[in-house]
Amino acid sequence: MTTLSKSELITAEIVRNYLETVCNEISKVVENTSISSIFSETHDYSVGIFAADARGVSLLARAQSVPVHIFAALTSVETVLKIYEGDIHEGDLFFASDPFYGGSHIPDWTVVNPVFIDGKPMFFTSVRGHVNDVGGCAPGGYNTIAREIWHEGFRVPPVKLRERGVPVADIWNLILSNTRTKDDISGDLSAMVGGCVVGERRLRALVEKYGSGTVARCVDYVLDYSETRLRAEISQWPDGVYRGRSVLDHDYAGGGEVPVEATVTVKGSDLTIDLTGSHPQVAGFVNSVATNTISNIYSSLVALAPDIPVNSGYFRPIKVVLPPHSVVNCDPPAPVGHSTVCIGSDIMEAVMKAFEGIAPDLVGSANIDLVNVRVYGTNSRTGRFFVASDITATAMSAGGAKGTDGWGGYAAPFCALRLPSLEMYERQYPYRYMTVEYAIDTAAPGKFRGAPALHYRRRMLDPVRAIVYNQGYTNPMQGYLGGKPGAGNYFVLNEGAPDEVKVTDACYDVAVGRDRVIFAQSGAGGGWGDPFERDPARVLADVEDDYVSIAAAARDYGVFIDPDTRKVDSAATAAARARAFEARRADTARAA
Amino acid sequence: MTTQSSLQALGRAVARAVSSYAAAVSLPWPIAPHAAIVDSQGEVLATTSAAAAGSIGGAVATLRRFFGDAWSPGDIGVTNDQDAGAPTACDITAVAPVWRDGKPVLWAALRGPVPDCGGWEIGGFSPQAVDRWAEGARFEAAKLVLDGKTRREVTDMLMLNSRTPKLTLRCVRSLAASVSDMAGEAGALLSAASDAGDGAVADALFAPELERIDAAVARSVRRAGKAAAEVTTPFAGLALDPIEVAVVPGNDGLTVTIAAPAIAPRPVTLAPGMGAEIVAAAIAGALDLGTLGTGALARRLRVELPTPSLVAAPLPTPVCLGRATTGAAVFAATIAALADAGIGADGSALWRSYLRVHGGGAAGEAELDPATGKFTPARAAAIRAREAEEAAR
Repeated sequence: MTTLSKSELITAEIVRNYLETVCNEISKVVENTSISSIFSETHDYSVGIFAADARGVSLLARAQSVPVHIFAALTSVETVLKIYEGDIHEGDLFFASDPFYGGSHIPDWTVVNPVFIDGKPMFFTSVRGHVNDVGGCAPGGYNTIAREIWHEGFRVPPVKLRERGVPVADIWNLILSNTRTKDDISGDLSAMVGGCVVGERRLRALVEKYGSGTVARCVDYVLDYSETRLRAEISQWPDGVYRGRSVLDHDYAGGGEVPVEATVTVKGSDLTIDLTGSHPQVAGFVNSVATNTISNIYSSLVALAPDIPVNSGYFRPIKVVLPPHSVVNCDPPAPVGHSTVCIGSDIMEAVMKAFEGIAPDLVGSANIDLVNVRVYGTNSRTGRFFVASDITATAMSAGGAKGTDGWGGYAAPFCALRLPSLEMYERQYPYRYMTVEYAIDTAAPGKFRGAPALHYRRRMLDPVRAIVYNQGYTNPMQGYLGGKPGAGNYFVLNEGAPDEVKVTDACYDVAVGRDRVIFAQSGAGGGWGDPFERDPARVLADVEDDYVSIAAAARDYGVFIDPDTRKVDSAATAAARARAFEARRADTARAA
Repeated sequence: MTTQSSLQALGRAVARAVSSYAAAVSLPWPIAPHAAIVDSQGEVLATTSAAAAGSIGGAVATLRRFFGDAWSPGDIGVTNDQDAGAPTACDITAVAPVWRDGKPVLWAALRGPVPDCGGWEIGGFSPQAVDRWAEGARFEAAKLVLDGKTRREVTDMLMLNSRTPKLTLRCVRSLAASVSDMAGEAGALLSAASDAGDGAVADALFAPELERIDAAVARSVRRAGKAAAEVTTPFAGLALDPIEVAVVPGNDGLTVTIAAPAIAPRPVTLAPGMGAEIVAAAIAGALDLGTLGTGALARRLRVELPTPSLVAAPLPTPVCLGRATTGAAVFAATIAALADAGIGADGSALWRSYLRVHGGGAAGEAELDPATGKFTPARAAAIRAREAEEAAR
């Protein structure tokens, strides 16, 4: 551990907070200057500050954004340094997106800006963001029938966007001309670059104030501090081997369910996460490159010790083992488009399930099902082609956790992703929302229940086409410690029309006519704890809110409510719960 | 140096570029590279294909427009943009300036195929493409070589977006080498000649060919002609109105007017430069003009196309099967219109000959399976096998 004097310790804490503040400022710059709603509204981008030394590249700080982005961005920085070794100059600025060159999936673009201090790159400011289109075969970047990476979009290895301060015009143009919405994405890319440049100014100011030597020592300390803290946390956990499993419904290629197996070994202050046993690489676009897998693992882990500063020091005690040629560590040219979240969220879930036995008070739905319908076509109001980045149908509501029910619209590990106002979407895209509401009896039962599923209906104002990519219909997000899974996800295209079609897995390039309706049920995270231990008063409140029906209250919670008086029948409830506990005890004894 | 000897020397330079490229890439299937020397006015002083002169000239114009004055000795630009003359995304045109007195006065251009450029299908023919991006990676305008150095960024992007990265690298390197040699030769010839590339050279070089063209038109085209042809596509249920072509002789050559239906929802539309190229090929063949070594034909041919329509549609319309489908109909209708005007020609033979010499993509439309609109499995396998061989080297 880096040793600092008392006054330096204070400086180190100032430096740490300063770095996080700079990340937040970069994030604000991107939010305020980008054009596409996927950036400015949905906030599907992340910010990090990195440093490189003899030990390698380190994440120093991040904005509170999408963790799977920024942990993977670390690999992008590493790849830039490797490929451009000896050819990085002051004023250079890099771009990368290819999954097999340190990326995760093609739409996640990464900008890396070296900050030169005393003639050397001391820091790297970086923004990684999900752009709305990357060319390729399917508008919007989610090609449900992709069988190889070339079906998914334009691949960009690490390239210089700016060389010695001069923009490289043809590279900018190559990247942007391989998107269908060049004008918008041009603004988004400029916002990413602008954010990095603002970050650079702030970092220079930091070094000017404290000197590069002091700042470097503080950074070392900050990294060491997080490592020390996490090791102390791990040491509290019982040594042992723990297993978790998560299952993806299908691989989009007729290949059936795709399980992810996680084995977590706690030994002293070390943690090993081994995904051996996970499904081999598949034909469809849920394969994950190692970078994406590791990023999702890290995302789970940061939820388990939320008060420790997250940086590369945090990850030093963690060893990751990934089986080769597998769905969690695939080889090119596998398609990977949906992997950031599906299979990514399953990776998170499998790891989190393993932690049920390690830190039961900390676990909870650590994932989202990024399922969606991509609508595209020509907007008659503007005359322009559009790809809707609307993510309202994404099942990102939270599950229950110890002490709290799940809440709608935000998933803990994707804390920065936001559901924009429907009016903003309606302004941008040719459809109108008819309903958005919680659906009764869809919340995952638990002592602390998940958020109910949301029902969305939107009516098209223009004829459009749609791609649906859906998971979690047969394997919805799991519950923890006896909590149940919630309702699954599915879509209905042309609802109520003769050509209505319910989509529980995927469809590609389907016509949806003017005035036709698209319906979506987006499920939510699982419950936490035994639902029969839920406070009957809370069950009654859920009934009053129309989250739970009286019948479901009895069935799922053992809480009996008089339909006339709307009061809990305490005697019946106690008796039913006692019977249930007794039956369960008997089952357990038989199984033993 | 006389005009004729200049023309012959430039002709040899463009022919050498094509043959050196073909030899360097060593592909076991027929390929159809073409080269041209273009002057600063955009006129094609020498070319291996009078028909392709316009589309290659379009590529030169696009790169000049994009980079403006930002050219240095040793630079080579590339484009595969179908709006800039490429028949498919797999046809890359490399362009190198020819320098005199510190400024580019001529432009050497070489168009050759790479075996794959991403998209749905290997080889660039993707019947399922809903738009241009689905057909392959778009390289609108990039410097492949800057100040004499090949740019890793551009070759990496070309390779990464290809199922045949090794072959693609070989192809683009060969394009660069051959176009660079061609530019060097043209530069030497220019130094030897007394004229600059200001249009006077074109006037002098074109004169003999213009004489031949005028004589052939006067001899053969007796009246205006008009005809139509059906568009045949691999897509069941895709009904398209016929292509109508009218040929009208005038004092300054021929005016060809095409009437065509709207853009189709399938990739059977022609890219903007292809309609004129196909008409030029049909007319040159039907008039039996023999080998034309310049872009002179363009001065005697005015092609009027409805835009956007099935015969000329810019981005984002998918166009990869345009030449094989709508292009064939344009060719047939042009031949039939010429027949109506008094010129008899074997249109089928001329079309086969055109495709053999000009076919786009890794092996050209002649290798397409008419039932699927994709390369035949045998051709696709041959491409993969050649890539494996290249990778093993």
